[in-house]
Parts: sequence; C-alpha cells; structure tokens
Amino acid sequence: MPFLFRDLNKKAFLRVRVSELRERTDGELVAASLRGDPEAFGVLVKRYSRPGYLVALSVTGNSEDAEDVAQESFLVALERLEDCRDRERFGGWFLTIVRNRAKNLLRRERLRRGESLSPELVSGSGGPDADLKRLDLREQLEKGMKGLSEVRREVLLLHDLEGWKHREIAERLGMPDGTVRSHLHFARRHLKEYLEGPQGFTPSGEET
Amino acid sequence: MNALGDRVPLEPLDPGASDPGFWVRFHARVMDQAVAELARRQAQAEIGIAEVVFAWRRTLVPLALMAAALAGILLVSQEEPPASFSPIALEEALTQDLVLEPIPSVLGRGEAMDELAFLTGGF
Repeated sequence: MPFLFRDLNKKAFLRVRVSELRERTDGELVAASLRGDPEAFGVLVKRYSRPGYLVALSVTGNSEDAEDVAQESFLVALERLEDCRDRERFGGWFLTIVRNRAKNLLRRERLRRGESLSPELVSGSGGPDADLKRLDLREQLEKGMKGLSEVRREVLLLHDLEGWKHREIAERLGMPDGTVRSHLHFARRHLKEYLEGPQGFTPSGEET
Repeated sequence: MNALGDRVPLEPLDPGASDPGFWVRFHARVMDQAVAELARRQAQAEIGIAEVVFAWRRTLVPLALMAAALAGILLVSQEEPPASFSPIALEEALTQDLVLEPIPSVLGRGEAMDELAFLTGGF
C-alpha cells in the first residue's frame, strides 16, 4: 500500500509540474531541457508537434514522411539545443530544422529514384476525373496543396489548421506580417478553386 | 474577396482528427527516443557541478588556509581596544591626579566658606 501511495503522489506531483511547465515560455523550457529535464522537453514536444508535422507535410506532401521528419527533428533539436541562441525563438529555430530535414528527405528520395532535383510538389499535374473522384477529402486537399508554393502551404496550414495568428507565423517563419496575409489569401483562394474546379486543379495567381 | 469566406476546412490533414490517439502516441515515441539524450544531459549537468567544485578545490583550499592564518595573526597582534565609556571610568579620570586630603584639613585653611574647596578637594 505505501508503494501505491508513493506512486500516486509521484504521479500527482508530475501532473502539477507539467501543468505548471505549460505556462512557461519557450526560453524557460529550453533552459530546463538543456539540463535534461524530461518534463520541460515534453512540453516543448507537445507545443510543437503539430506545427512541426504541418511544416514537414507542406514540404513532403506525404503524411508518413511528415510524421517521420517531425519526430526526428525533435531529437535533432534536442541534440543541438546549444545552437538555439535565442531560446525564446525556439519555435522558429525548430521549424527550420523540420523544413531542412524534410527537404533533405525529398532530395534523397529523388536521387534514389533517379529523378531530377526540380521541385515536384509544384507540378499541379492533376489526375483524370475518374481518379480524382476516388480520392477522399484528405487526398484531394494534399493534391490541391501541391499546386501551392512551400511557403504558402506552411502559412495556410499553420494558420487555418494549427490556429497560429498572422503575427506568430510572421515571427516564426521570419517574414513580414503583410506577406503572411498575402500568402494566406492566395493559398486559400487557390485551394478553394482547386477543390471546386472540374479537374480539381485550376491555377489561380500562384506565380511563385 | 473575403479571406474568411475562402477558408477551406483542412482538418482531414490533421492525423489527430481521424485518430484521437495519434498525438499521444507521437509524443510518447519522441520521448522514448529522447530518453538517452536527456539522461546524458542530466548526467552532464551533475558532473558539471562536481567538476566546478573539484576545479575550485585547488584554489579554494590554500586561499582559505591563508585567510585563516592572516585572521589569526591579526587577532593576536591587535592592540586591546580602548576602554569603553562608563560613568565610573569618567569619575576616575577626573580625580586621577588630584591630591586627596580629608575635608576637615581643607576647611582648616580658612577657606571654610569657599565653595571651590569642595571641588578641588574632591570626593
């Protein structure tokens, strides 16, 4: 019985500590993670799991690859945590790791398949009607997003799916607020037109 | 064009939307893989403190010995502090060099009415 109580106390203590850590800033969590604090690192992982996954998805266009990349990126970030000079900007630093690793993965796969290094995600090839009809909504969205540039995919996903504000995206992706708004506007318009279009793909001002 | 009106529901792209346990498993996998690195960092932090103490030991021990010796020398060689003020000490100081004579002999000099006799004679 005493063991049971001790275990319960420990669990209760951990719950309190984790909920307290959730209030901490990125900088404070990074400082604690540098000392090997698992709860602090766990909160960072919770905070940036979805954004990391979404950025990876916007590069790879593939959910499985995105999951692997996001997962690996956390481990790489932990190993290189000393390189994160501005600890309060951990989010932007981490997403850069995710983006780079996702690009490396794509590059490796293309080399393995003997494909050219030109970005295939901007192909906008679109399939025949019959094929498109078989796709579920997720596949349609993924396909529709392939017509967008990488940065527009990132902005769209982080804003409309992750719920980040323009200012947060601008800060973490290192671009002006107005640029974020512009990317978001074009990305939404493109995706909407793609999904409503007869072929599932109609270019709409996606010049970049 | 209204930006909000153009919004497309992207939830199907979130693996957690169709699989509620997805993010919990994702978190657990990351933490499992991070255990070794976190343990290494913990050990490094502990070693770091021990190393600091050890590194300072060579400097601190002789310094502490020297400080103790110096303090000892100072204590031994220091003069006694001046007597602190007290009413008794003041009275003694005032009457130190006075020739004390009994009051009758002072009065016998014909200065019986001289108030100063009391002062110069002292008590």
